[in-house]
Amino acid sequence: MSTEKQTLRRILDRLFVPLTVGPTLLWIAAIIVYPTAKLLISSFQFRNPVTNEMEFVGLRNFRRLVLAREGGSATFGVFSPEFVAVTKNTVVYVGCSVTISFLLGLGIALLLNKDLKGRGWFRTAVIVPWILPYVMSGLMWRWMFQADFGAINGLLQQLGVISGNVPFLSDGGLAMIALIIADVWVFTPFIIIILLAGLQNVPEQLYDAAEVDGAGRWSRFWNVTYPFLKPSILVALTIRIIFDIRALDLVWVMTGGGPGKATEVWASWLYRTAQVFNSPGPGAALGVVLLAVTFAIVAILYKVFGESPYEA
Amino acid sequence: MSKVELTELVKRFDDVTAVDGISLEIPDESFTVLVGPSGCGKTTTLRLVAGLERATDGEIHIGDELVNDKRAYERDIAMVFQNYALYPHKTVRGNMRFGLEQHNTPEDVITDRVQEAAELLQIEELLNRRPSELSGGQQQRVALGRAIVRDPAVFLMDEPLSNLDAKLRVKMRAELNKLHDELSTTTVYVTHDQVEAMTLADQIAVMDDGEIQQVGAPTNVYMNPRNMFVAGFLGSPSMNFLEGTLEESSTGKFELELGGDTHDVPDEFVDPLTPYLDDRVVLGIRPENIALNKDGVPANVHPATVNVVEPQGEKTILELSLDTGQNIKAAVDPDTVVERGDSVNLRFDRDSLQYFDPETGESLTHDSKPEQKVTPT
Amino acid sequence: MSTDSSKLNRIRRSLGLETQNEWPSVVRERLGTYALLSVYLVVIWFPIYYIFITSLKPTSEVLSLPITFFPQNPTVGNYVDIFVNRPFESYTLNSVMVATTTTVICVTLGTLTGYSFSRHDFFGNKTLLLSIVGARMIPPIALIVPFFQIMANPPLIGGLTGSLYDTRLALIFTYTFFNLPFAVWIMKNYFDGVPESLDEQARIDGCSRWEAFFKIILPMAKPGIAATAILAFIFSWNEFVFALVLTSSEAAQTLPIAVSLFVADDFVDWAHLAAGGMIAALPGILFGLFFQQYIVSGLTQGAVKE
Repeated sequence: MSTEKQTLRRILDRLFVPLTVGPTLLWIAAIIVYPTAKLLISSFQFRNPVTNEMEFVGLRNFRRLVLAREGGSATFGVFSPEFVAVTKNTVVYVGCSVTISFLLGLGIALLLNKDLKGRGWFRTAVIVPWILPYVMSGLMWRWMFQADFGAINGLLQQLGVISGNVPFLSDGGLAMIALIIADVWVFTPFIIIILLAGLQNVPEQLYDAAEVDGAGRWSRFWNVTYPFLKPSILVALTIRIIFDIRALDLVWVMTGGGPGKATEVWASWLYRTAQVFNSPGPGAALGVVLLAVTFAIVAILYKVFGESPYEA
Repeated sequence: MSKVELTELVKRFDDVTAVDGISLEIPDESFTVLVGPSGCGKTTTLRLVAGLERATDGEIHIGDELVNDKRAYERDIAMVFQNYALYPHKTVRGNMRFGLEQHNTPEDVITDRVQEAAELLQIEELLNRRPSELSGGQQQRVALGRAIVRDPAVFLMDEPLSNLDAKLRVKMRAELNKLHDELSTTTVYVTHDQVEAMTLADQIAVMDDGEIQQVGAPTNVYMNPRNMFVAGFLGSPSMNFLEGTLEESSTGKFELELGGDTHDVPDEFVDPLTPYLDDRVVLGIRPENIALNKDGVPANVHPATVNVVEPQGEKTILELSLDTGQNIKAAVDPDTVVERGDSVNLRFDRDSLQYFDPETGESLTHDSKPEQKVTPT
Repeated sequence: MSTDSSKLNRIRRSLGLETQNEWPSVVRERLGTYALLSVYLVVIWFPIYYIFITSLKPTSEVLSLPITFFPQNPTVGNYVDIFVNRPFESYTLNSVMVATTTTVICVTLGTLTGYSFSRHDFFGNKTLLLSIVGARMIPPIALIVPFFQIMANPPLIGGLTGSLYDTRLALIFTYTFFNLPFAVWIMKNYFDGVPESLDEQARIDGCSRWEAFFKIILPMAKPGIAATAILAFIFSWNEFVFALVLTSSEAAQTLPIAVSLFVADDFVDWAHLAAGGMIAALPGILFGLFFQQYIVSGLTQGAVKE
């Protein structure tokens, strides 16, 4: 090998890390760091309607949205009624759908973990709802719950459960339930996938040992399955929660936050806010709030369970 | 074929010193085994020779050439890894050819060499298979074959047998010996298994704590260890160490006071042990050099009680407590009739005794025995 | 007796049971498991079935009572209509272009970077990796405002491109934001599972770092790359929020937007929406049916999902 060729080769080898990592870092700087910085800046600005210039307004965007306006009504002391209502909806929506889909997903994962013929087919069939576009799923469920020609009204009537049509999506409480059902339908497969992978980590001999020890079904679950499944449960729950908080698709196409504000959650509120004002400030402020809430939740889960959900 | 020479070699990772200034000469055509417990720096040393790590300090010569700044592919070496590192997406033939192709070897040479190596290792019928279709032993052969086709100056082997089951390991050990007889390529072999080291090596280098403790022919190192680490590391069960105070008896002989029992020091050790008179000294005796006398023989025996009898087939291992309270192991003939709880007298083979300084661990008698010369087989 | 026992044996064999004396409880458990899973599958697949048959019904049947659960006059008319009356070919093309380009960018950068993170100790290695992974926790919707501003008036390249609003390029840039960190993370974890001794053997065999990567490691990483690619494609294909914010015409609107456009203020064209929805859902269904194992392995490597 000639020396020039060797030298070139050495130089190229030295540049391996810069050349393989550098472009990605630059790209991420452009596409994540820069927009995030811009978000923070915008959240402190408001477009002056007269001069059409962006002005620094301090915390006014946050105060206007989150805190009660001066002279206006307030709930929980300082928060604006709108913020409190939306937060309540979000907690109900995320809390119910995460809990239900977790329990359902755990059950199905345990069933699928058995040594069954055709297990692969069941698994494939179970996963599909999660792979569909959320918009399509949301509209599909809107169609299912449709008041006049929807399948659910049709089925319930044909079965004689109800006599007249139920307008699911125009009733505040029912709309929230419909939304939760759709959310559970979409995201349970995700729980199943993660938990099934976790279940595969449980050593077979431990089940045998537990059986020899005379452990019952519950005892086997708590003493053998659960300890091995715990990291997967953490990952599944963390991701499920933070992704549900930011999810707009289902809410937007199913109820649009309605009827009234009955199903308005943070994501839809943010989107509406960003559209309504002739200024990026308020929407950005809510974005900052959402960002902070997400990191707070991750930090809390991290603290409580003592391990990074991304590394479990 | 070349000798390899390491001079004052040092490798530091951040604040950990893995290799701490070792010097070692590996003669041309020798089979040198680096042996030691895990973390002793033996693998790092091998990787330094391979060019997979850069030395912090010191020199590495392959042949007469200083190779510190050479890349792995410029060093004329071939390596066999513990997990074989076969390319899973290439066939056996593809695996064996790859290194030659990368070095721009002419096609006819590649074909010939692969064929020859395959014949030598009896893997001709496997050439078109992929590694995942091979057994562990077959993968091992392919890894060897890949090294052989390169016809390098030095073979480097990093625990190549440790992933095989016990029976296969013994078989491959014999084959490696045969292969080395046939090819005579200088080989540096790393293992933590002292039996492997003893059977394969014509030169053994025992390492601990980043340093070479002793180098020499296997039997010599075994029979004549330089310190307590080497003495204890080689041999299974390991050498027994009994600590006592060296005293001079009324007759002018040396005795080791073991706490209620005394051990007479053979006369030839009086000279080297004289400076330790009235001081603490460790007696080393290998289990196989302990004989059992059930009926009392008056002189030079040590009364003990049998705690555990462990028949191993070709020998039986006894765990005993001396009446002084110290525990000791003995390897005796399998037909020895002995039971737990028996009181016995132990006789130490007086030609196989070793004495050590309890503080430094250094052998006090090492230099008084003749060194054996290392000759490549 | 003989007929009965042979029948029983047949059943037992078909259920995969070997031991004679424990069959009753095992059979019951197995049948119970099958029954539960089947009920679950019927329930979760029913909506898909229902929207599928809706797509095959003419509007007159869709909007008539009683509801039919089998189409009376199945027709592909809705599918034809949406391509004739609406620019569905543009929407489909946009979706394909955006998802494919995003996937190529993310897989390329993710593979190279993931490999370096897995193999090389370089300055700030851990911190950089953590921040890349942490970036995935940023809720994309929080950034709709700055992304809208940036795309409307791109910095640096703005003079060259003008506004990127309502272009596919805007979507591609944006989608890499949540797919690239994910790709880096999956690929890093994948390469962690490839023994480093293979790289070292390649170096001894005479490869430069680049050759070792391209000739040895990359061919072995195909399953990991497939998993990353499939997930990146699905995430991009399904994305809705940024498409809603950053596009306004058939020049860049993707299928999820196209489907949502069937919802007018007071009226929803369900028959055609169903047909559009099925087209939007098709890649997902196909990937799910044929590449399930890649999706599962990608997700469990990454354990993060949009």
